[in-house]
Amino acid sequence: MTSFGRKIGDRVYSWTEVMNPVVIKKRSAHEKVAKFITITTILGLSVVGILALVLLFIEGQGTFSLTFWMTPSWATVSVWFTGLLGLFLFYHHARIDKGGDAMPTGIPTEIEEITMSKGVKNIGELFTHDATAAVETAYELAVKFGHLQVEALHLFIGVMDTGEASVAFSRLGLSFEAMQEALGRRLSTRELGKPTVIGELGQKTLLRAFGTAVELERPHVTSLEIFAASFFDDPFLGDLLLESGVNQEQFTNMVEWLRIHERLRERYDRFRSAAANKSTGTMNSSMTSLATPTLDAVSEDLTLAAASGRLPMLVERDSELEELFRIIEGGRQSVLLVGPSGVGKNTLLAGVAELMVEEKVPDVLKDRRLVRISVPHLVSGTSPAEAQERFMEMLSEVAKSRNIILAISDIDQLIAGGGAMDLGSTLVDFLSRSGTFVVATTSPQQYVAVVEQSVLSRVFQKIEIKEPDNLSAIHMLQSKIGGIESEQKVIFSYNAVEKAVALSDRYMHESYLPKKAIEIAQEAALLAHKERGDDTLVSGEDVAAIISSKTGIPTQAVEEDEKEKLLGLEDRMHARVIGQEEAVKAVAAALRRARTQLRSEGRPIATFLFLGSTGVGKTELAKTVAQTYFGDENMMIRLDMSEYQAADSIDRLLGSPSSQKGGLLTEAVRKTPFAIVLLDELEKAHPDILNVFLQVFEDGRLTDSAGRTIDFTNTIVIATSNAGTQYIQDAVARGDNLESIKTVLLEEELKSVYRPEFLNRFDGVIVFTPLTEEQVIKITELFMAQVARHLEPKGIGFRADPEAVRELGAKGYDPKFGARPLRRLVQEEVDNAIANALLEGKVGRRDTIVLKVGGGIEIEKGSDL
Amino acid sequence: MIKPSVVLVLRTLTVDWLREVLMLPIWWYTGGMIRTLKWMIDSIKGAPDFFGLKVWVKNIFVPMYGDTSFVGRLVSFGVRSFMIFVRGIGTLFLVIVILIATVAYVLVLPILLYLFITHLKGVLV
Repeated sequence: MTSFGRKIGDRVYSWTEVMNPVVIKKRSAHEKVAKFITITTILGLSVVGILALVLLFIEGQGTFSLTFWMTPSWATVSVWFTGLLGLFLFYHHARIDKGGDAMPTGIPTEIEEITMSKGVKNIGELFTHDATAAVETAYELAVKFGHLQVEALHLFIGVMDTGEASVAFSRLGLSFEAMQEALGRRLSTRELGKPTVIGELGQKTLLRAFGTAVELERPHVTSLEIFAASFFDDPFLGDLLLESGVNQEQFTNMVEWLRIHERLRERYDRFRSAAANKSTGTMNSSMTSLATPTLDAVSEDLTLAAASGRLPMLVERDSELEELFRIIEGGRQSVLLVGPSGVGKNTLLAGVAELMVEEKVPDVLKDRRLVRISVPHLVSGTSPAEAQERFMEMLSEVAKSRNIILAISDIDQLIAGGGAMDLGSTLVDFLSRSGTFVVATTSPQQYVAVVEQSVLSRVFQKIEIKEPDNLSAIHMLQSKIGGIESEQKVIFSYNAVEKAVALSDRYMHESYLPKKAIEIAQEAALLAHKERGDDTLVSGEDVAAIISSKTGIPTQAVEEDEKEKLLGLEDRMHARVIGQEEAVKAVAAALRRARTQLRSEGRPIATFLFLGSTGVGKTELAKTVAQTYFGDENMMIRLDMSEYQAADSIDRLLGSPSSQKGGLLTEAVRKTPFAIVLLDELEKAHPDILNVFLQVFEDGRLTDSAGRTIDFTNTIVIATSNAGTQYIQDAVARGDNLESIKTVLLEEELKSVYRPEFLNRFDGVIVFTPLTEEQVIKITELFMAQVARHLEPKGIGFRADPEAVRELGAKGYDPKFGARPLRRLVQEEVDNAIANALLEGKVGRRDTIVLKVGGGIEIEKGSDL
Repeated sequence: MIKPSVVLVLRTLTVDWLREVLMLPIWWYTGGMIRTLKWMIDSIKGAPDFFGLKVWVKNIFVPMYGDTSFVGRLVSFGVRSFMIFVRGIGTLFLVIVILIATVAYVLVLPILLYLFITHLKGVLV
């Protein structure tokens, strides 16, 4: 049989563990016996030990003489025997302890064919008991089916019994039972033969598991690594899980979650011993430092907090941490962490404090305290002069004590007061003279507005702390889930974690990852626990419900299976929009295209240009889209472009450069990113403003005057325009078909108004035809239904005779202005008459108002109670 | 699941138990001895750190509590010298304890065996 291996340094590692039923039986027997010996020895030790104590106690005073110990007696015999049993236990434990085989360090080479020799190291010895048991189960499975070799599939099934895999399965919402059939079918297709061996495929999977464990610096190869390696080695398993709704990325993240969990546990153990050696007072271990009463009053000792395990674990910020240490080590320079609130600047400080406790830091940071001062504490309740004095006193304490590294959160506060309260120059002066340094944080806005222009920028090196991408944010959240779970007594599904990150990223643009996702997860846990009690599973739906209650985006819009909604789009739209078959069809089709992911991610969901005269239903269709797509017709940001006719009105849209406030459009989209942007009468806007929208259509984003990037990718942009109306009306009257009308419009009529490249950016240019009289009558019916709805809360019924509707419709029809005159007519004739009747007290509850031909109304008295 | 038979378990029990008992003296002075020596070396190396001796020696001329006056420096030097002396003694003591423990490891098995056998004989005969 060919053997495979990987090299680390000069050493070759391979799976050489012998596997056959006899060996497995023997190994199992040895394990059982070893356990048995341990237990019986401990029992024997306790029994004989107690017996010895009893005998010594009976002997009393005599035990203090040497002669007693030299003279044979049952008491001495039992003491010596207890000792021997103790030695035996020590020896037995040392023999069965697996910790002796140290994992190699370094980067393993690719898997290659090797020739067996004495120097080859067996990776089987580095496997945990669980992992070895999983390989054995896999082997037994292959034997049972008469398979020629153990493959990834067998190993995957073998691992399923172990704790880690079952945790992964339950969090991913998978069940072994549901997959059993498919696994059985797959097993029956494997190559048969005897004897069963761990051949090429199995060896490769195990070597991959070993490689990952080495790369991640794990102390052993665990069943988790076999689980992951086998999954990626057999594409069938990927398909199988995909069938159950779990894709590869989700599986990888789940495995990463378990690794984070393992690391948290190890960190806790390791940390306790390291923290025991760290001096926990204000004094360092060589007493060169100084007591710092002023500093202590306005600060918090982060190293002390870290040593008692009160700080969060830092995940996924290796490169930032490395940069920070490089700057400090390089020139003892002060560091400014610049990042939006919630991205984890303070967690990074916690990470530094933690490494300081473990002394895994550059020499300049060793045996030091990281102390975070609170600027509000420092300046509160004092006059500027006093604050200055207090600050200087504090700094002189820091200088004298020599073991303090200052951390200042939101350093902009030091200078924000300006004028007399400006403590920045004091700090700069101190830093340049004392040779010590500071780690500070601030937000990008404050950095630009305050810090960059102040003296502080001279002494600080900037490190940008960016918002993590979704993947990193998922891992960061996963490191927090354990805490939330034990606090709220709930269990998180993987889906909930993923949704907390993905949905908060998509819909909550006010705050940043990972904080917003952590907050969502906390609230979802609280809600789930409140609703369903202890040990309940927090699902993706719980998270979606929280998001929807926070953002006002209806849950259905986020969650509901959209297929039905999309397929019935035309019918739902026609309930509100009469006629305009082509327009409704085009919009529905475009929305369907957009939602079936046939759109590029970096653009708005859809962009439409509605062309047609007033009153033909352009705005109504936009409202209908808002209603059907976003769940509420008010999810609409409406801009009347006739207000933006001058070039400088662009400032009103995006915010003026001199102010830090955003503009009307950018602020609205920032606050409701999931909405329709309706640009009414677009042709009236200044051409420069059209260029702004060119960018929105192309990139899906805009930058406002405060430098924020506003995301338009969750909006539908609808522009309406009256340009070319005359042509449309004439053409329709001539009986031209819609397609040719559109072509002429685009190629000739609109050229003078919009540039061709602008028109090309729209997903759809939709022509609204003038309404026919028949359609206007139908609209009249809708208006009548609206009147009835308004009267309903008063307990008054309303009905219109069909002839009256027809008459009203005919009267209100105007080919030029569509249904617009109709609305006025309904107001004048119907609403006024009803209002008069109400004021005159002619109608009461339970009565019905009937609209008659000729505009008169009749009142049908309702029955008395 | 392949499970070992009861006979196999019983046979393994006898063989393993006997082998372990017989192997104990050999392991004690080979594998066990190496472990103990490693422990001894590591512990002796770590002894000065346990008392923070290096940091104190390094800072012998640094004034305590930031008092940089001449008297302060003098007092500080005196106190530090004393502390280094005390900590040095502590370290030495620790090293001695470690050495005693190592010697005890070498002697404990034969002594216990001898005492147990002779005393058992004495009691029984």
